[in-house]
Amino acid sequence: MNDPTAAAGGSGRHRELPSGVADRLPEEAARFVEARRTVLDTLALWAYRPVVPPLLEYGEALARALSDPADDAASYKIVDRSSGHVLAIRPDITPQIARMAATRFRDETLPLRLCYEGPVLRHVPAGRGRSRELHQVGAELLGVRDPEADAEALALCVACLDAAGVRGFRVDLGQVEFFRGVVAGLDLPPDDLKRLRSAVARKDASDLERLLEALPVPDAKKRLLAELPFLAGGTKVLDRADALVESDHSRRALENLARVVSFVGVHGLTGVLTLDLGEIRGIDYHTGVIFEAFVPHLGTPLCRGGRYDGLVGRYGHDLAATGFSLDLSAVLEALLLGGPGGALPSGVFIVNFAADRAGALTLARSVRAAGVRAARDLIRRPLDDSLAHARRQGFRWAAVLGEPGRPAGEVRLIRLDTGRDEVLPAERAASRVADEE
Amino acid sequence: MTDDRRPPTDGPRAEPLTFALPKGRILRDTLGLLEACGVRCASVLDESRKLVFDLPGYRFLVVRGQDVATYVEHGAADLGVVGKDVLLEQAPEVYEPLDLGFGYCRLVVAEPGGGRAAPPVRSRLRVATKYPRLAEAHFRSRGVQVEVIKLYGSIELAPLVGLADRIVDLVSTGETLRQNGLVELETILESTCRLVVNRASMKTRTGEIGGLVRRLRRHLEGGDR
Repeated sequence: MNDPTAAAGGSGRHRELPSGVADRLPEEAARFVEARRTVLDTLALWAYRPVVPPLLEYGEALARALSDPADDAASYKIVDRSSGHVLAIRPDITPQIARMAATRFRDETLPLRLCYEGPVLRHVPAGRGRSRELHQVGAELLGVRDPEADAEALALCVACLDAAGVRGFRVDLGQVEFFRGVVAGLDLPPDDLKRLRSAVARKDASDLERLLEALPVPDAKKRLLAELPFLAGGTKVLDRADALVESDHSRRALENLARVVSFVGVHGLTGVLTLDLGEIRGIDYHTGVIFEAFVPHLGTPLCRGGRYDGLVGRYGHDLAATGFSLDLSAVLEALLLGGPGGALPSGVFIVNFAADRAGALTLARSVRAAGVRAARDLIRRPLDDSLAHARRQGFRWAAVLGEPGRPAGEVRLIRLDTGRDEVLPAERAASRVADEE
Repeated sequence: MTDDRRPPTDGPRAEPLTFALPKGRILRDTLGLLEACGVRCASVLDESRKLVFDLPGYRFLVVRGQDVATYVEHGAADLGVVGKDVLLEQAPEVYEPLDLGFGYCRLVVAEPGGGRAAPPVRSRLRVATKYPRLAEAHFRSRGVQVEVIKLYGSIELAPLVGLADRIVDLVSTGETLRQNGLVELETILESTCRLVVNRASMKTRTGEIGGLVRRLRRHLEGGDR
């Protein structure tokens, strides 16, 4: 009868987690927290002010961001007991910022620079190894239509990934209005348009060719649409697209993209950039340039961003906007792919063998006051066991007090990596480790 | 602040381009096609039990057809070859730039035919299949309520022993259905093999993958003529 699951009389679920969510244990959590801190510091450096929207909203408020608000398959919903209204846990934070901008910041002078971080939840297909919980950190720049704003969002996104320690990523830049311009004048039945859009989004050149054969589309547009999956690569794509473009709408989109690219160049970031005019995935609310960051071997993008001039208006106050959100879980995944890392051993683990604990407690206080982390071994045990524990917990030093034959005011300071030690007066121990940390 | 960022190195030499390929006939067809496009890979067929083949510049993973898209979606492989039927069933987040033309089959609805007792009339049809999503979507679009029974193989058996009223299954010639006394009612879709590409690979190894796709495409178009 020692089996705790048997004692609980049941399924054992009280000891487990549902699929698609996870605990982060200290080693991973430390890198997670550190990545979040560096990203938030970067956002602050670029003068983005944090806001903290709630986890829960009216379902209809969040659904406003979807192309079909009636078809909200992503968010977790509950019925509010007191009012009967449907509430939803946010699947994305950008719509919340749009709602805030349209309501709480209506009379604010522009531009608005806002940032946020927090978890979001999404329904995901079972058995496919996807997470239901993502942790977003993002920035939104509201009230400006200028392409410099889009370049700022992209450059800030790169700065955040750099700060988090992600290496070898690429940022893929598209312009959804280019595609919209191509299909705008076509007057196709909705089903055909949907098929066309799906083929372009999947870069399915074979399906696209078959579709175009059957559809009443002018030859110039056919050529462009057939080429669209391949209008991707370096900045030369702009010239190739320029030779094919046939509508004013698409031409304006292309000119806008070229201006964003040139500002990104001024930020010194041309090297991380790829362009893709056929990229039209996940564009429920985007209305201009869009971008995603990728590292090799990670299917999920590290961030999504772009212009969404229509979204704030859906909450009752028209405002141009651009921005991005990082998926901190994906960023962490990229860091872990990059190899071991995270915090080096640091701090002092304080072991006391004296009857009087005051010396040990005082030492802990003085080490912390010097800005070095410190913790007491609260368990009395052989020294080797204490040292083994200290190493596992990531300490760099152990400070041992009250060993037999040593005066009360003296501390033996042990380097846990090399095992070398020195004896010194307790009042000098804090400054000694602070010098080396 | 003029130190421009250099492009991150693709590392085409350092890192092989990884393919996830299904076992069996499609593997042979795919390797034949890749060989014809200048990828030296015929030796992948030599050892039948191995699952990973490392060749200069390329790595080949031999997996179940149903698993190819999963390997590619998660980035365990850069590219893969998989039936359109599987892609429609699983709807993975991958690019599918090419119809390779081989591996033709149809997803059909079939039921026990002539001479057998008519199935009992139920208000809910029981349908056995390896493709629960596609089967359900198909019947839903016709306003027919069905109870989908997911099986992993020998689907033809299910209606013969009363486990299901109908089946939704792949056929290439239809011979297996006939041998089991089943008749086709309708075709849900036709499928051929597609080249699929991981999204991050497409964006971070644009040159290599784009070049390969173009070579394959040229070869396939040449073959059509």
